[in-house]
Amino acid sequence: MFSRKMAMIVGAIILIAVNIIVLSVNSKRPAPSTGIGRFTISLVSPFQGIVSEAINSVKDIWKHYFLLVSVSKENAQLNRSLKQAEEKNNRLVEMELSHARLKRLFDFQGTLQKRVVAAEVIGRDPSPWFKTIIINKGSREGVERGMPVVIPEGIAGLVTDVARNYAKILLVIDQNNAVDALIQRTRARGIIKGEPSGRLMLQYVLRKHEIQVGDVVISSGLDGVFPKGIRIGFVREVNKPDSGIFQQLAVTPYADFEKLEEVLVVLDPPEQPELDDP
Amino acid sequence: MTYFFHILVCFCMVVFHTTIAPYSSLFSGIYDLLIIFVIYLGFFRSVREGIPLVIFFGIVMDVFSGGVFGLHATAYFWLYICVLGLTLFMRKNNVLLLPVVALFGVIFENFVMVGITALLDTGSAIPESAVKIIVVQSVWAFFTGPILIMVFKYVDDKWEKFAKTREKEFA
Repeated sequence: MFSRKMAMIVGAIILIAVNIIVLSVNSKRPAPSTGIGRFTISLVSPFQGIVSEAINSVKDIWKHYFLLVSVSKENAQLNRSLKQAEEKNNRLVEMELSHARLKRLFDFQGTLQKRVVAAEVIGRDPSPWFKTIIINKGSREGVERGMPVVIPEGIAGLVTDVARNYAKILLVIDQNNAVDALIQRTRARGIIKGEPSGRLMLQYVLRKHEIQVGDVVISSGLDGVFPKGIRIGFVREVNKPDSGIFQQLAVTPYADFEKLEEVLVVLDPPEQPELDDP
Repeated sequence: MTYFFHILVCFCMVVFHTTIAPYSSLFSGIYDLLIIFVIYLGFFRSVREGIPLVIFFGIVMDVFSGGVFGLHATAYFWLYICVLGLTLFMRKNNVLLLPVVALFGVIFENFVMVGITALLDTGSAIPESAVKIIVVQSVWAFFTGPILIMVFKYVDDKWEKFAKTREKEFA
């Protein structure tokens, strides 16, 4: 009747039709939960989870590795930038301080009305018993032995040795230094002498003068070295012995000689002032 | 070559004392390191080498110092003589001796400085801080002096070896 081939074609058509019908019926309602489905899911899902986690981990590691590499590079770069910024900031702070000091020195130079040369302190006395400094200006800039050295706070010292580009300054606080001085208020005269401790003593001041603690001591200009009227320090202590014609005054210098960084060497010789009547 | 090396050491120490130590709180109370070098010269080098060097060191320090010219040279010279005297009846390599000699050197130098200054200038007074200065310097010297002497010896030996090799190469 029907050939075998014909039977196969009809069977296939029927199968396709049934399949389509089943699919269209299923599409109208949710699939019922069967035991086989649950079992299969329970069996496979843990492996899915493990594999999925493993893949995610690998992905994460991969992703983080690259992220960390870039973060590490970024961190190194930021660190470099930070260091550069800190260095720049430090340089700027130093420049600002230097500018402030130089401005004060410049303003002070204006008040002196004398030829001066500014110098930087490059060295200090190797011995704790003496107070000298080395500056970076010498005979090439006109610095000579015996010239006074000043700072905005007052007298700094005296040039004692000169090389072509350097000079040695004996500070006013050295025991070998002496400056003819006046008490600004009373015009009492005396000699300022340094002490190894770094303090100053005003000696040979007549007993008759009423000196008070806090009185300002200035240079008299009579020593022929320091210009007149430059501040030296203030009276810290008055020592009036019961006998003798002089009183002795302890003077605190205005300048902090430990922090001396720039000084002015006065190139012009001082004018000889007339002696004030005490 | 050896003289050149010793002079270089001297200049390094002068630079250290005049530009590094005064600005560093760590070294604020440090003693004169050249004292240790003078002791080293007295112990381990010949008199022919030692005396010119010691006087040279003293003059260099005097140039940079505010004291009477010759003060450092005097201190170094007499310290050198004392060390030479010590070597006559003591073993040079006695490690226990070195801290004591370093201590003596520092005290001797300070004594000469203060003493001569006071003698020459009747108006000068011994500062109140003198005891503190000397004590701090002595402590530094006692602990670091022997190490420095050993370092000088080691470096000097190495330098001499190097110099001899160079001389042979040139010969």
